[in-house]
Amino acid sequence: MNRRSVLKMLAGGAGLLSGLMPLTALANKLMGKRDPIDAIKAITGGSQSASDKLILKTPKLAENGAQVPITVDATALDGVKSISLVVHENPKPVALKINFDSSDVVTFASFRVKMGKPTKVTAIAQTASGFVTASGSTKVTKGGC
Amino acid sequence: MAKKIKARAKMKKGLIEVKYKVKHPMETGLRKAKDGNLVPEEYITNIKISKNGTPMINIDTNSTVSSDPYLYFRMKGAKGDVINLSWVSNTGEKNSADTKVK
Repeated sequence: MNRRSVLKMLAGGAGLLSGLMPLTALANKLMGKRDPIDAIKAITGGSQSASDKLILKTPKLAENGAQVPITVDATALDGVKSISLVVHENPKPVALKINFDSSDVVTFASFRVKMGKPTKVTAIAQTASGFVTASGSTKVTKGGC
Repeated sequence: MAKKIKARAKMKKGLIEVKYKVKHPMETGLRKAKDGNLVPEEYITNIKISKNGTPMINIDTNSTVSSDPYLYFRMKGAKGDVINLSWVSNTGEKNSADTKVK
């Protein structure tokens, strides 16, 4: 162990740490996005394709914008790692990102989000071979944002 | 304030069907209270669901998820498995609950 190897180790350790940090910061950055197109880009890295294998169920008309039921069915796709939902007209467009940690989980999710006004909704599924999207739109009579 | 987690886990067609209703106000920081002041942001930022201690689902949530978030998932498993949900909010508050599959 000489001075050179010690310095190398230190540099390596510092690199590791800084490599880990952005992971937690990434989630916060994504949630803080204000522009829907930006947000989608941040999730997919700019390359995505629409597919009818990803099924997004949103109500055509939501009476109460504070509780809009959404269902995303990605069971027709293989190797789904995560599902994200972007509500375009919301002040914070990214509603949630569901990461599937185990293959035991069926890639089907149902949840509720808030919507401020009539909006386009995009679901993004991350598969082994890239990003797949599905879009729908919902009219809101009473906003909840 | 008690923030309860209502849960139901049941076997259905060979899969565990989990339904959650997490009691939480999910304040966006945009709503005004009756006195005209903004209600400060308070929302769940992360929800983790595990089965018998193995992580299954990890959800990053934003303030635009509805209040009292409702979640529905299905996963492989058997009767008697223990499903755990835990959440963390932007204020650092935490809660978790175990549910046995019926």
